[in-house]
Amino acid sequence: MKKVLLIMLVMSISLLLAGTKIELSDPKGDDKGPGTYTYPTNPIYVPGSFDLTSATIEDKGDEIEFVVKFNAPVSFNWGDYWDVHQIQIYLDFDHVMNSGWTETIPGTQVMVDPENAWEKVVFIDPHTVPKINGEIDMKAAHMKNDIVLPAKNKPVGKSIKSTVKKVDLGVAEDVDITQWGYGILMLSATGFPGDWCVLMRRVNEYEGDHRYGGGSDGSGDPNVIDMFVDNADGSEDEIQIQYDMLDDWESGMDPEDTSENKLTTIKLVYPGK
Amino acid sequence: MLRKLAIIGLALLIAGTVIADVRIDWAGKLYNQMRWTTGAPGYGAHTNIWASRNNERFGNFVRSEAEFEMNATVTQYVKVYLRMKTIFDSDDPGEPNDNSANASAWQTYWTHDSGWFKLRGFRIDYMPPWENVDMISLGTPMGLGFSRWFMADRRYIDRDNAKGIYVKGHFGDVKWNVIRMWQPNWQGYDWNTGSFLAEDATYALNFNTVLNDVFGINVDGVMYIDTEFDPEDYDVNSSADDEPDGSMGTIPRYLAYGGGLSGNYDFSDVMGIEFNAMMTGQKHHQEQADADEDNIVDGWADWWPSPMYTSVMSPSGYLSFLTTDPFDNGFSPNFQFFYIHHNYISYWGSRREHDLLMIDGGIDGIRNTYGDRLGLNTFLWGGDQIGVRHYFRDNEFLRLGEGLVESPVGYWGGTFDFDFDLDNITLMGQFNYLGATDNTGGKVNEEDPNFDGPDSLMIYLPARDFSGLVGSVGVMSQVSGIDVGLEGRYGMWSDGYDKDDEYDDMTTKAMVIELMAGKQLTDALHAELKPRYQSVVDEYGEDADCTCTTNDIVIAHKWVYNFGGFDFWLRAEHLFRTSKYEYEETREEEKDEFSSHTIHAAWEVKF
Repeated sequence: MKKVLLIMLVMSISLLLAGTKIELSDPKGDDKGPGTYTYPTNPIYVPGSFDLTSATIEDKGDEIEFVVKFNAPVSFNWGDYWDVHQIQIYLDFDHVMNSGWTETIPGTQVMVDPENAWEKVVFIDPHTVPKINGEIDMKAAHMKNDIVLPAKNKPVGKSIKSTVKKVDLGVAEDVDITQWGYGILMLSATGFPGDWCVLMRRVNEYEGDHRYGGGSDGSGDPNVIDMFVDNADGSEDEIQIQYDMLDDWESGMDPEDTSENKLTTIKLVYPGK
Repeated sequence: MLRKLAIIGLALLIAGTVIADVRIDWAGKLYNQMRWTTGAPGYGAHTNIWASRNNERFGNFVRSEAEFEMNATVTQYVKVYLRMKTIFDSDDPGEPNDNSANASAWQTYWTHDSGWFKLRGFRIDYMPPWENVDMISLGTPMGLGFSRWFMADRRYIDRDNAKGIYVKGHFGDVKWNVIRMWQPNWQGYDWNTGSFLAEDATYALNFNTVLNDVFGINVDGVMYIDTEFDPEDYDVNSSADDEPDGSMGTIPRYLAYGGGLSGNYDFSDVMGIEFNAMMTGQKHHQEQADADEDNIVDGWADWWPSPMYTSVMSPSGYLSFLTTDPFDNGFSPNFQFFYIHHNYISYWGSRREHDLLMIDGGIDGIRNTYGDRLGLNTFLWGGDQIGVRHYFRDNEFLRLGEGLVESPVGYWGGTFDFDFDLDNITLMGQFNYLGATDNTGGKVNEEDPNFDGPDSLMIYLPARDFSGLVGSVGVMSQVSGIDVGLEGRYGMWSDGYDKDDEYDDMTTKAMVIELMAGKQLTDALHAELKPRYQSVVDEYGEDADCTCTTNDIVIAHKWVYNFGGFDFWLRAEHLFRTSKYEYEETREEEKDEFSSHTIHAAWEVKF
């Protein structure tokens, strides 16, 4: 009898949690990384393309749906599924110091605060799954088990919706997603990445046809163009918080030589705390 | 000998010392594609759908591409880019009834030199320490900040060898772009730019800014100039009735120009408009191009990449209404109205790189994957719409998976597009109504013998009485880890052509029903199966005097494999066709059956 009651209790909680929806906001105009980044010169990088505006995270029972919105429509000129957006969503399930990874996917070039160490990252990229898996095998094999590809991606207008199965995240159906930490980063995807980048576009000192400007020609600068920070309520002060968070880096001039690099450290957003 | 070696060693040492401060990044890729088909000769050019068999590659082929790129950072102010590339074929030589594969004909296209690497592009980027100038770029331009209807990236960079001086900068929040291009000597109104090339150039100017994060504005102007020596100048022509002055005079043989105002306005984060208003035109030298002064270029041929008029100017443009889930229920409708005048002219607009309209094709004729037209004049579905006239389209030397592109020049239309994303399924659809921007062959006077258009059914400016409707509805979902989809497409159009001749009237109805199933089989391997049924009915004559019906069953499948940096694609198509001609008057019928099997594979390694 107790067992039946327990099952009923779990099912009730599961039903209650299904439908939980988290809404995050980000101020417009902060698609400059640490405040200095400029877009590549090719017109395919439409102004506002990498400017995060909002995101919703919704518990759909056995899946979690992430809808990330930005300030220009997705384009479809030469990507496998879309052109230039790459989104990474770092998930901290337990908010326990050093419980999980503090390094990020190679090429992102940021560290995560040990207090926010993450367990899984959702990797949203316009390339084919075999292509992404091949890149991960070559450049991020050590964290392969914790990089999760969405079961479905859907670019519509100024948004990309990605659906992730809970079983792929290794979490139970009745998990409370409001207790997680979220690091939602906007980068740019490229089919011609550096040897140490998992399909992300690099930032250089000066912008080029397909390179961002305002960073370093070395590899110590973050390749993150925008991110949700602090309370993710979209207030203006979050602009400076993001700039400061992404600006604490040092870099040598040679992208292959990491000895002089000091990566900046980011914090995740905890909407339930 | 020792002295020579010492000199060489010293030179290398000095060079090495200088180069040591320059960071040079090399990259490259090898790409190879192979197509094997049982298709009959003449079916399915994989390169140019318009060319005859004698000058384009058909049937079986192997094509290899090798490319090296160098990016050098000389100083923080100067960067240099070089690209070397070769493409060479081994393929069916293309002569009718000639089945001998020309496996030894390793040819570098356009020059027919044996597999040589050539310099395909170069650029020097200079970032000056000046207040309002951000970059000066010399060489092969890419990534230009202009409207793509006027000045776009060049896929044909290999063949164009276009070069220019490109400067960009800003005044406060207003960005500007200026360019002077040297046009390739084939890129003119009659596929040439005359014999005097030194002063031929295109100038373009752009200003753009974003106001209050919601209102983006672009202003573009472009002027194409083809200059020749003046035959009336004594210093050019000693028999001219002119006084020598020691300077060879020039005249503008041909001018083409365009101006545009484009932009976007966001009503909210989920709703906005895009607009583009353009005016383009051209002007020939009257005495050289139009001796009889009828405003039609003497000897104009309909395959020229320019309008037929000596002097002409015309408007084009579009207005779009775009949404992103405005009702918060997954439904995102979009609308577009476009009007691209039949005299629209642009030499540097997008030839392939950008899809400029919302419509997913719908202009010239449904073709299967490899260019095989199903009906004689049916709709194309799935093509990108580009920014140049029909004969400037870039449909040659396609890689596996690249589709054909179409030009919307001479058409107006309205598009309603929607995406309805529900939890487990996605509904998608698009409906288009199309018309021709001109139904008179370009003439306004009914007494003009050309009012009803030229005799033949040419692409540019036939007299038309055209209208068409095409729509599609699809549904996508995921079942047990398998992506599944179903799509139906239907189109019909009619064209009266010469209104005095009922026998050239044509009506076409086309339908496609396609299923799709795709699955990630392993981390490295994805497979997709797409069977479809398609039917095209062409009726000729006012009373359907002749009806041609084509029915196809097509089994297509695609495989994508990537492992350890090795990319491999394979696409195959098995076509089973029946076609039937029925003649109303004689009650005769002609039937034909045809099948073909095609395997197209490609692999690539980047390093």
